[in-house]
Order: sequence, then structure tokens, then C-alpha cells
Amino acid sequence: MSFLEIVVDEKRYGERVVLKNLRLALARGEIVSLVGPSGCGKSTLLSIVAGLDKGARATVRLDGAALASAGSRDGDGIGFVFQEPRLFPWLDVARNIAFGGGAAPPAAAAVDALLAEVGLAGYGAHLPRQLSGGQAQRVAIARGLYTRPRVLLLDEPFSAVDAITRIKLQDLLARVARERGLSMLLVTHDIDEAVHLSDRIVLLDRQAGPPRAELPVALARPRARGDAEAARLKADILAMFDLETA
Amino acid sequence: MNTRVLNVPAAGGRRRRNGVPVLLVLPFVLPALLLGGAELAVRAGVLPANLMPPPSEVARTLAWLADNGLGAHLAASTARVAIGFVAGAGAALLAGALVALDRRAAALLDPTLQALRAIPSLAWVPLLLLWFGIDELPKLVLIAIGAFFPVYTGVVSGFGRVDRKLVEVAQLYRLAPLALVRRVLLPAALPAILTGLRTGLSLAWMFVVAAELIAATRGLGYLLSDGRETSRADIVLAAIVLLAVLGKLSDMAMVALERRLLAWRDDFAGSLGGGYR
Repeated sequence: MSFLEIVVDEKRYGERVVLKNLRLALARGEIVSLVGPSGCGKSTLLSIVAGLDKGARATVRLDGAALASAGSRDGDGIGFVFQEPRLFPWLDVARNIAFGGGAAPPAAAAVDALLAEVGLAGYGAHLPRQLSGGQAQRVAIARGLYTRPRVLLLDEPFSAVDAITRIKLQDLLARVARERGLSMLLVTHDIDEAVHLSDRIVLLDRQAGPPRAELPVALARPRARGDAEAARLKADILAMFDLETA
Repeated sequence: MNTRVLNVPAAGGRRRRNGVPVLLVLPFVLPALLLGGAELAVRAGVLPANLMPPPSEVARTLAWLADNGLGAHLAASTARVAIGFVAGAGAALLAGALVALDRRAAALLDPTLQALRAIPSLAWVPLLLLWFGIDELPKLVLIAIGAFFPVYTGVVSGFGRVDRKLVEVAQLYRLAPLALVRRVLLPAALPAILTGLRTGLSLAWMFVVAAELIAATRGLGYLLSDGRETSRADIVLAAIVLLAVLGKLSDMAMVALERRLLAWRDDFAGSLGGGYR
């Protein structure tokens, strides 16, 4: 049985059906990327898994236990990293990281360990406005990890940072996932990113329905960039989107 | 290839001249010119001294008043502002939060409050006098009404404009409604709420004068009307100066509070390390 099981019968915005008859399963420690055209419902799918979407006919099971819809559980087992850092500007970095731990002062040891893990040791007392975009996203990752989730959901987490920062953050994410044995469901527009990070890539269609294709990424880890096998895989994926591989 | 040298003034080069920061001196230039000009104009006979007493005489009047019951006038007005403002702002915080957070409360309260807001607050004066006589109560109610609406508007718009994306983070962590208010909505709405409080406080000073002009035996407004009735322009001006000082002091206290509570803000005024807001 799979670790995380997602079944979406139907999700619609008004008349438009965005997701329909979609099944997706993740094994423990597996990293899956969702790739597809804009508006195919990738982000909506993450919202459903996180319990943020109240209007979907869907069931999500984590380790065999059903996760009901929003409001009925205490964020158990699921962490979320958004496209933007979404830090609370009035809280310092330490309190932002510990936000999911309640209103009590943050557990210093846990926060320090996370800061070191994301490469921001000593930044606990900084305010969000003092951080660069990449640093802010590192804090967002640390916040996502603070509640010790078993699954981390990421919604185009690196699309707003420059190319070099993006590579560093991808390497950080790969290391964190490996060290923690974390399952990750990653929405991305960046096929290189999907190939570099995932164990499996799921391609969604603009037309709501089951995935167009699922491609295992059987590359050894840690992965080198510019690998010939990875380039072939990228070409395969692009071909499925009817694009020229320029 | 051209090499261009940027002509950047040395840090602080524009701000300091002879060791005195220009920005600290500039605010006093206009008042000094006005006061000096008034003094000279009266002494030269350009302005009639009975209508426009020179600043030196106003200063003497202030000194005389200080020995003749000025403290009681100041205390009366300040107490009225404090009580009226706390009552009005407190009610506004409560009503604003209700309207902002609960759709049914909004449907119930907001249309009525918006309609009441359209009434110029001074129009309440005759009614308040009829209802409550010429005691303290009508004055306090009038000040409270004056302070209520800017605070109410600030609270409602502040809560209404909280970034939905931050609220989503709170929902992700399943914050209970009360925790959502305390940990996310209130801090996010704080800038607008504080702006409303600041406006409300300045309106409270405005309405204390209105209330005391109409019927009072103590207070700065009473001094104003007493000075007019006895043709003492120096007393009127002294009261105006005191109102300016008290208003400015209470506003400075609000600004200090704002700076303290909003130190996290990343905006233009913040990056200037203050500035004029």
C-alpha cells in the first residue's frame, strides 16, 4: 500500500472542471514532480492534499489514515512551501520558522538546528525584510520542516529566484529530503528541476483527467547537473508537450 | 572607451553644515519667521495690538494664566479627551473587529454605522444637550463620537486588506479563529488600526474644543470663549497655542507607539528611519 494516496473525483471552479478522476500515490521517501501546462490544476491538487481546498470531492490518505478536509485536523504530517516565502513580516526568522508550533516562544534548539540545516545559522533574530529572496525561501523551507512533516508539498518553490540561487535551493532540498527520508510532492514548470529532484515525474494534461504520463527517473543520487541521461529524459518530456527541443 | 566618474556627495555632506544637522533646524524656520514677523509688525503699528497681541504678550499671558488656574483648564480638557477617546476608540475597535470578521455582524451593523458616519458629528450637539443637559456627559459622548469613526474605518479596512496568502499559511497550520485573529489578522491590520487611532485622537481634540465652547466652566475651549467675550485676544491666542502643544504632544506619543509596534515594516518611511507621516 502506498504511503500517500490521493484520489480526486472532481474539483471544479464554477463550470470549469480542473481535476477529474485523478489518482496519485507516493511511496515513503519518494519525490514526485507534477509537470503540466498552466491551469491544469497542479496547484489546486496541492491545496487539496494540504486540506486548504474545501470545495473538492477528494480523499487523501496518509499512511493508511484518511485526511479529512480542511479544519478538522491539526496540520498533521504535511508541510507546505509556497511559491512565495509568505513569511509574517512582523515576526523574526525564528518565530516565523516556529509558527506552526503554536503561539509559545519558539523552541530555540529546534529552530537553531533548522537554521543550520538550511544554511542560515545565526539569522534567527533577523526580520523578513532584511532577507534576500533566496534567504526568505530558505526560511520558508525551514518553517515547512518545523512541524516534522512526513510529506512536504512544494508549489513552484523556486520560480521567483535567480538561476544560481535556484540551483543552490534545489541542492538544499535534495539533501534535506535524503537526510530526512521525506516524501515530497513538487509542482514545477522547470523540467530540469523535475528531472534533477524527482524519483518520478507525473505529467498532467490541460484537459482534466488521469495523468497523461508517468516517467520514472532512474538516475543515481546525488545527481550531477548536465548529465547525458537527464538530457535525454528532458527531451522525452518536452516531446510529450509537442515542443521542439531547442 | 569613456570612463565616467560619478559625482556622489560624501555621506552626510548635505545634511550637516557647521556641525548642525540641517534637518533638525529646518522645522523651526517658518515658526520663527512668523513669530518674529508678528512681533515686529505689531510694534511698528502695522497690526492693531488689541486684535493681534504680539507673541511676547501672549507669552506673558501664558505665564499669568499659569498662576491663575491654567492647570485646572488643562486637566479638564485632557481628562475629557482621554475618557472620550478611550470610550470611542474602544467601541470602534470592538465594532470594527466584529464587522470585519463576521459577515452577519457586517450585514447588521455596517450599513447603519456608515449612515451615521455621514452625519457631521457637530450636528449631534443640540441633541446631546437636550438629552444630557450641559454636564460632562454630553461632552464625553461628543468626543467619543468624533473618535469612533476614524478608528472604526481603520479597523475595518485594516482587517479587510490582510494578505489572503498569509491567512492561507495560518489555515495550513489549522489556527483556531481566535488564534488567527491574534497571531495573523491583528498584527497585519495594525498599521491601518494605528492610523485610525491617530486620526481619532486628533479628532478628539477637535471635539473637546467644540464641546467646551458651547457650555463649560473649565477647559481650553472655555478659555477660548471667555477670551472672546472679554475681548482678550491674548487669552484666545494663548489657548490656541496650548491646544497646539497638547495636540502635538499626544500625536507624538501616538507616533512613538506606531514606531515601536511597526518596527518590522518595510516601507519608505521606515527606510528613512522616521520621516514625516
